[in-house]
Amino acid sequence: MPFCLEEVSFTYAAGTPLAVQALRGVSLRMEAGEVLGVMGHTGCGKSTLIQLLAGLLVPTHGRVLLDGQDINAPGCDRAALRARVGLVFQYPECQLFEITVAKDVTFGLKHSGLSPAQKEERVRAALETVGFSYERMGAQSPLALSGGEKRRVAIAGVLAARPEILIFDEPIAGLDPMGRERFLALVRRLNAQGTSIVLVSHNADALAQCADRLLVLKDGCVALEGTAEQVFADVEAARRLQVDVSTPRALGQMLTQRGVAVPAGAVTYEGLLSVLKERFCAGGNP
Amino acid sequence: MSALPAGQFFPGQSVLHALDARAKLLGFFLLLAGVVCAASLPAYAVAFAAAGALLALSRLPARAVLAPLKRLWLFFVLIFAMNALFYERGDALWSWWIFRLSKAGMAQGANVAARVALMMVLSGVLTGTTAPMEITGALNALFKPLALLGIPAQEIAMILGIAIQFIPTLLEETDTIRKAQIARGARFESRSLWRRAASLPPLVVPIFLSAFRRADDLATAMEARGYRGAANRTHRRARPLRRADWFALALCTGVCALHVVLRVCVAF
Repeated sequence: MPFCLEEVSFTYAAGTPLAVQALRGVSLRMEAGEVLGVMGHTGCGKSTLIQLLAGLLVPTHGRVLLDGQDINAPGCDRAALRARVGLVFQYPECQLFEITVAKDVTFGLKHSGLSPAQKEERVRAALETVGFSYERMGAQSPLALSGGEKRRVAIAGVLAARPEILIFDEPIAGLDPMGRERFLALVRRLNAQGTSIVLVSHNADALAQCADRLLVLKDGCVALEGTAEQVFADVEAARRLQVDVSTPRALGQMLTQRGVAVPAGAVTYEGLLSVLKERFCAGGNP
Repeated sequence: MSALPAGQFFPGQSVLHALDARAKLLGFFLLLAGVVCAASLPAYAVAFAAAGALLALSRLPARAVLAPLKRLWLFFVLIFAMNALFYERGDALWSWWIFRLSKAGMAQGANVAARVALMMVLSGVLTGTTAPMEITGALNALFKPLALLGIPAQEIAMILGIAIQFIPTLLEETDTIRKAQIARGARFESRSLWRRAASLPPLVVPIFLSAFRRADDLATAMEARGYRGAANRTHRRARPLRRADWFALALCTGVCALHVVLRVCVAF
């Protein structure tokens, strides 16, 4: 299922005086089962990138390949492609419209050709994946839920199609700490079931915890690429690209400057703690 | 979203961009009156020449301004056909069942289609060279006399201004929601009218909800910043009309007068 971008460029309103080039020759390869984090300053092309991946935009130049097949080629079945790639937009709670939660989650399965029983099974599973019980939630109005609950219902609406690749745009923006933890647990669970995941976020801590690989965009180009350890190694470089490094990495940097050397690879709290433990609790004494 | 919405503003440095919005708006209404008067070939020659000259002066990308016309070709064909086939007066050239093709009807159809096309080009030039906020400001100024009649002119201008400002936001939001629904399996591309109507709720419900939420938020924000009704608000950049503005107005008045004269003197 590898997902590739080949020298992809995209220009909004091409051919008019308002043309804006959002991506410039971006190449990218995503492996099956990978969690890819995408970071970058506002306006760097993140949203354009994920819409190209989901087949919602057609590149001005270059190709988007899924399993080696150009998804924008004339003969390609785009509906089938969209079923394989799920995209959860920022503030997905805005897309809810049905009378009940169950109906809203079923909406995406309308053209799937599944039987009603199969659909219900899918919806039940999707709601359970986001931590809701079908019996208790199914008949409620989605519009009467709290913001965080709405977002989970909206995510269930995308999960119901069982995509192989899931793309999240700023999924944790505006969530409380518990909602954030719950979301990250969901990502890990989905990934463990074999779903490839693209996470677009400004939250470096969350990406350091979840992502196998990070991509930093700047002005429509890939500026940095690598594991969280590699990308966050140079704190100054990250700052120049206008992205945060994870809090533990920033702490490690401060400690290093004050004489307690912490390796650059400690980008998560667990990593930082184990480094500090090793240093200060040698022999088990605090 | 590859096609630009009709009425898009293009920042620029042309003569028309530099004119005062009040002069442009008044001139626009004068030319519009002229177009409504037009009913003969010479009159349409004048009107099309004026519209073409404005389009050239504005240095707007002609393709972008004319694109809405192209998108509405079916509408033009329809109004022409309706007029040509159902017009009551004049000798019938051909008739069958309820249809009745007449020369007068065809002339009427051509009239209506040409007028709509001209109005669209003129308004395209106006909105293309004038930022939405300038248009609102101009409306505000032009509505002022209505306050004497007890009409809340300033409030109306404020409402119009807010409505105009919300258009791009709502268009963008529509685009996002449409994409979000497509990404989870909706199909809006269907050609069948029935299917297309059935696919409206997933778009319309979220957009209405968000529009109401935005309106609420905006009202709160305006009150929080001390808005107490529009009466006696002053403007940051108040300036009188300049010579160029008066000249433009005079030109538009001239074109409008010419139309009236042509209307009176020339039969179709």
